[in-house]
Amino acid sequence: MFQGYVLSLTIWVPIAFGIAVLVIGRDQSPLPARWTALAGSVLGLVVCIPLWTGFQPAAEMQFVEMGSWIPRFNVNYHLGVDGIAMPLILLNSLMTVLVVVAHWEVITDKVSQYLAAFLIMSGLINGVFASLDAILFYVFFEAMLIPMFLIIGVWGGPNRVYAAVKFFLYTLLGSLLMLAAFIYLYNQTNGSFEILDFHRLPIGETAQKLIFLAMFMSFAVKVPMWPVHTWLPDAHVEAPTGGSVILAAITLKIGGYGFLRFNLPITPDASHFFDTFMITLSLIAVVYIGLVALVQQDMKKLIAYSSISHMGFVTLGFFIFNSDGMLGGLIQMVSHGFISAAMFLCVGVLYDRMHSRMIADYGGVANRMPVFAAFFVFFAMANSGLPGTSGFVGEFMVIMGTIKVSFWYTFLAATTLVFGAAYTLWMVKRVVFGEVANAHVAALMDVGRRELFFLALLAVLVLWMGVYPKAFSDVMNPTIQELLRHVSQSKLG
Amino acid sequence: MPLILLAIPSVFIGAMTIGPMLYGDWFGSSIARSATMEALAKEWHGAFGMMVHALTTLPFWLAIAGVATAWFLYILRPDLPAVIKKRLGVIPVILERKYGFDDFNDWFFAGGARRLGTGLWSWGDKTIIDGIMVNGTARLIGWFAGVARGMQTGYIYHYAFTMIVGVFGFLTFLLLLNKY
Repeated sequence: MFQGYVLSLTIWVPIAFGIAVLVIGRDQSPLPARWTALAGSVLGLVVCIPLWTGFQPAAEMQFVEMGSWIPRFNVNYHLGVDGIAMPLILLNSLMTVLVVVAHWEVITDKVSQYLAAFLIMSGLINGVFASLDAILFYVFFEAMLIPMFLIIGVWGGPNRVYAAVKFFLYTLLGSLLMLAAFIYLYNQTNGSFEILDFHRLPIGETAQKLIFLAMFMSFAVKVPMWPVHTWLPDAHVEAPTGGSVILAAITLKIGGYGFLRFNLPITPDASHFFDTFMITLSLIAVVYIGLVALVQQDMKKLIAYSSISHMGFVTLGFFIFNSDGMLGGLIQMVSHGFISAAMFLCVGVLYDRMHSRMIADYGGVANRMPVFAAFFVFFAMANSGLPGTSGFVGEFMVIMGTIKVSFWYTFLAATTLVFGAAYTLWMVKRVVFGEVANAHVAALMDVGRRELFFLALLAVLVLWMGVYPKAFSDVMNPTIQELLRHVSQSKLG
Repeated sequence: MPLILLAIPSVFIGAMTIGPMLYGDWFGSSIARSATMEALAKEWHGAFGMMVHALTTLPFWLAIAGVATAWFLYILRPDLPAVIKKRLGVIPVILERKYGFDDFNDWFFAGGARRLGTGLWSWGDKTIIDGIMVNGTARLIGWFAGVARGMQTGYIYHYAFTMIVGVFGFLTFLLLLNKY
């Protein structure tokens, strides 16, 4: 019945439920809002299931929807997904369910607004991944900043306003240049905002370079790449747990997605021209940020820096222009979604009990929370790239791809395995193992059923992807192969 | 006791599976068989043969000697280790500290990485990127806005004069543009 509108449903079901939660929400009795939000997030995930079951492993866009939106400027409500966008939509919808479950006993202030912000943001992010019209993409891309700005600014920590404004300004300034590039491309295509038309458009060398840089400014901030990364640690530290989960698991992926959807296919020659530049920034992120992560005293800040370092691997994989690297980068994006969400949820579990994120305040947690400790150590291992977990698959593939290009790139990239293990396991050692550090740790209670649910679910996903990555790579590979073929052809004519 | 319980099945499972795993078709076509393994297979005469052959090798007798020495020193004559340690002087210290490799690794690699990380974070992220580039830009805009605000005097003749200067500049630009 709704087969032709699956993508619309993935966008508008969460948004509609978000508005409903706002309408029925009461500060005195937040339970109806909580249950409505849970129903909305679960339904949002259920409507995504046909995307997985009905997806044909092929390069072309699927589940396409087309309607005129602003005829005067030829702006269309054009949706569709390929092997790059579809897994990210599923990831986003799943994370929304986890965030709603995770908030249950934690958020007590302005509950309905909090949940509505997440649901609306979930729909908008699905819109970002599903858009095939540049203006539609831009609208979703910008609109999703608002709920995240509110989540950090209203429910965040003591320095939340600074972090929210920094996050907003960074991402907004970057995306303005992208809009300028869209308008240029609109003129060049004689009045089309279709992203696929942009892919086919021949563009001169200088124009390609300028367009690449304009879009780079937008997506590099989002990833974030060094040196435009400093908004992320601040945003993570100040954001509530749910905000950190969505930031790390989803919004960073929009940057990586942007490179695959816009930079590489629209400006292939410029992408090759700037490949050394991109690889250099990626390797700086891997090494420099890995070292910076090592000395962090705040668990959230450490995981935030770890995210930047891991996303450096993603951009490295994209710009070495071979199958292993590009597919590995995409797998790493999804894997990082699972692992970073799990790590932030683990920190959230501790923070809810101790109201501290500082490593020095912990020690010997395993003595009081053995079940939690088992999960935390497992996710830490996955974050370090342990074989058998999803963290290994993407990194291994990127390293395999990089060795075909340069030994020294590979050498520097492989340091992530050392630094990743060092900062993650050192944190786990200080927090989880040893003697019980103080009376607060001695009073800790182990995870409840709600927390067990989301940690176990993420553990299963991390293991599934780690043991059987084929389930994911089969979906992604045809699109990646087509993208590689497209990028290998010059547009200069 | 747990170690003994683990050791007994390890011996039997190892004896039963070593042949098919290393030289048989246990893994089917999942693992390619190298020429080295083919050559080694010619020397393979079963688990019992391997066990008997071990009796003729130096490592086996060194291991037995180690067990015997440990039994002698820590069960038969537990007074001896302290005496030996005292007589050997600095050698036990060197061995106990693993030739100083752990200390070097802690100081050079672990400590060095921490010092480098602290420097990069403090100078790179906090001072240069956040301090100069991000907050510095905000301060620069604030300073420029302060200067520009000083020009907003509220006197109409100041604004009129500014407009005249602007028109003069614009016309000059146009004239130069036409000339060249």
